[in-house]
Amino acid sequence: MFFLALWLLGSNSVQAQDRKWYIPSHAKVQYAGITGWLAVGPGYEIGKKNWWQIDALYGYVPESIGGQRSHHLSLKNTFKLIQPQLSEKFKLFPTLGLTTSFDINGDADWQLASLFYPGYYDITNAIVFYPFGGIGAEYQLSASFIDHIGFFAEGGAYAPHLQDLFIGNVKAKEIFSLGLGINLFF
Amino acid sequence: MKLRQLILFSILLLYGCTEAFDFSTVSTELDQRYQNTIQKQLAALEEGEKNTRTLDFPISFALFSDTHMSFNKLDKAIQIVNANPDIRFIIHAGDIADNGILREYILFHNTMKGLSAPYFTVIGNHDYLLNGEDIYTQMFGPINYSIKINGLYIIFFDNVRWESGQEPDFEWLDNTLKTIPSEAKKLVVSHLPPWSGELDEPQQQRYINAMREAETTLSLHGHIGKFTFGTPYQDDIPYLTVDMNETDYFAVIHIYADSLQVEKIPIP
Repeated sequence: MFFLALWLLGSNSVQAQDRKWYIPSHAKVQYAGITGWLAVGPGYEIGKKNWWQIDALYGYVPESIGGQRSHHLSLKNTFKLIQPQLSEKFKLFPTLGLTTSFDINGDADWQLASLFYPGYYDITNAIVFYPFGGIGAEYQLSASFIDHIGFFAEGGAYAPHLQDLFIGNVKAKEIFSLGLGINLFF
Repeated sequence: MKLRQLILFSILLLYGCTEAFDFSTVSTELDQRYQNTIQKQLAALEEGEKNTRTLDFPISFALFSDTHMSFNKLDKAIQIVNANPDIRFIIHAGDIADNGILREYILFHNTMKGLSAPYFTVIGNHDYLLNGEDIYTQMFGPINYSIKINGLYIIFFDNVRWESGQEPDFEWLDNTLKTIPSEAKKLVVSHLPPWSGELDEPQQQRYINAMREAETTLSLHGHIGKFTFGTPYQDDIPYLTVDMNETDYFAVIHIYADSLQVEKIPIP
């Protein structure tokens, strides 16, 4: 909510070049990809050609979709590896990234790794790491309020399942899932 | 690669994925086709055995356990079982999932569909993690249950304490064992062997005594990372443990009128 408030305060007039460092550069809306059924939140772009994107997302899963209602807070890091400009207004780029999602429902156990006896469980299940890769696209708009719009599609997997993939326990098609979304840049 | 080709490739790639979308690790919404598995397996078993109303020795079955995310290994074990027409059913002694996540249960369910014989499960400690218990009961049915395969009784007993947050229901176990004729062949399946460390001393003793008094044919378990078979309590009750996550073995058990034989089957 804090980030959302900052974005609302700052989004009316500022341009990228004179935006204060704490004003988000964009808002993200994401479907699936471990951040919830639908997740929204502000984001920042950092570095040369804005190659590093950081988003703070609040996600929600309704009972009809998830079997129980749940809320999620996630921190998403997306790296735009190369950003070829396909036309004056359009660019398409591959992405890699890591979503870190935190349990705020009380379903997971923050103390899991230290319960019972050392080594019984390796790590808490209250923090979920979800590496992903995908494609992104950005299109420059003529509208004054939205400077450009971005789309993304990503395939990712729960980190422990990736470990199982590397040691040959599972097949890739069994663990990967999809996240889709849009970014609105102001 | 052109944009259109890239999008088409991505769509095809994701279409091939087992479950295209993951919303959360705590979701429990299970499609109806995955529900009530034990009932469905029993129906399949009864269909297959309807011409056999009495125990037909030897009765042979396989014991799997602790498959966690070892689906490639599970798949190989299934091929071995399918190649042996004498195996009439399969018991899984728990730890179906690794983290109690819906996707893990669905992967297990889909993999086990490759079995040509019915299977029955008991819940393990990993199956309780996150909202695993909710998913487990939807997918399989009651936590404690018993079945009768012609003259053979099999009791599935949940003895997970720490992750379930509740004590094992020994009263249910005792009452169920009392309903079985003493001379009948009977198997008891629970994830933790009594010596695993999770049961306290009185609970261990209560389980051992229950097996002894009921003259249990075989007590079956997983959890401890080893394949073991023996009579560890100075009585005649044999205990068998299998762990397919930590070892490359499962068991095939043959029950005869007066004895039983356990085969240690390597998974290549």
